[in-house]
Amino acid sequence: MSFADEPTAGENLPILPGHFSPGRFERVLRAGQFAVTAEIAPPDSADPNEVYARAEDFNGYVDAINATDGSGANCHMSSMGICALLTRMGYSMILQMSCRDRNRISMQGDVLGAAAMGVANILCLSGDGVQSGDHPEAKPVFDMDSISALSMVRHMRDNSAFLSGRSLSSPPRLFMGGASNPFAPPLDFRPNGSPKKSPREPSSCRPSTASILNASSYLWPKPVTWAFTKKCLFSLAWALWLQQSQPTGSVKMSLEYTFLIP
Amino acid sequence: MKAARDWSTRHAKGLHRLYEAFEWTLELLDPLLHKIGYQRLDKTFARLEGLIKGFLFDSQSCGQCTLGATGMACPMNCPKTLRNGPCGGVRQDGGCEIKPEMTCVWVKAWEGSQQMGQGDSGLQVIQLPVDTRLKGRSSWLGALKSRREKSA
Repeated sequence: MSFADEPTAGENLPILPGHFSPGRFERVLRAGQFAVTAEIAPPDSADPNEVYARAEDFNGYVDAINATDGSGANCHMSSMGICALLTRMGYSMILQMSCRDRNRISMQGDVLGAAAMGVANILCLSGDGVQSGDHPEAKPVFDMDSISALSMVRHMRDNSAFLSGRSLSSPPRLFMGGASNPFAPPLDFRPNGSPKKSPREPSSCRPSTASILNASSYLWPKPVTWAFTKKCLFSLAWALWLQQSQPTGSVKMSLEYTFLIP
Repeated sequence: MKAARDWSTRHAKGLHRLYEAFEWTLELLDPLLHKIGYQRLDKTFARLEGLIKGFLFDSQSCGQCTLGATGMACPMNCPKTLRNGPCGGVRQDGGCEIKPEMTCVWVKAWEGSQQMGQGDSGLQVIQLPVDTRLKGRSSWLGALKSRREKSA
């Protein structure tokens, strides 16, 4: 969908009343439309053209691109790096911020940096354990967890201050999100546990109210290019691989979904 | 120790009652403890607390105890030290994603909180990130101190 006040690519939208971010992702969701996001696999490279080439496949098909942060605890180009490159090219980005690799000082700095670059969305994750990646000998930081990180970002945005209380001259205008796997034990706790990720009002945000499937294979009604189809098939194959290789096993398990916090 | 830890979550209700009684006693003694000085007592208390909770819960002595809110399972035993609920990687048998032989701390916490009969009200409390300065200090005295500061 397009908006009447659509700016030129690379610029953010004006923030509407009741909206938190200047991004199109929040706009689309609040307009009640189905939002499509895709994850971009960061290259193991210092060449920006590899990032541009990967992002190009999504041109015109997605509302936002997720920049993963050391997914599976494997080392890749940083999510900040990807966001820096792609916001300059006019892409709408979702910064993934995992708690595995940095402490609260670094994370708050990144939140400000990302918002300053024009990133309008942030997805706070705990992160996979270092043991599952290619540097199992690394120190797992986990100074925070996904929920305290969400509270931190919300505090920065709404109270315009760092966790320490020191005030910000301009708060980060970010749309926040969390991730949940409702199919892992303790199963009885999961439906109750997920709303906890809404630091504002735990009981009011049910994950089902705004759940977005992460799988890009939900795009069939749209005309797609071959390059995009390849991407979808790749992600489908990847999802199948995930089901088999991940400890959690069953088909349902890999259906991790993202929900959003107003 | 796994056996003691499992026993503790199975008997979460009784242990929580016991702690409440202990807390009540501590509060009675608070004027005396305050007079002696929390700082001076901290080492002794921390050692005692470490011994008891270390045996019962495999406590990691973070100094900001959440046991009462997490079904008597110490969340600092989670390899990711998640204090606000389980991650998405818990195995179907309840095993930890990182240490498969260990039952997820939050599976235990859920069992414990059910046993305590408080539903999930404790688990719904949003825990603040850990203050690393308090590691190895007594959380019992810490609780008394913050209570005193609040009422002041």
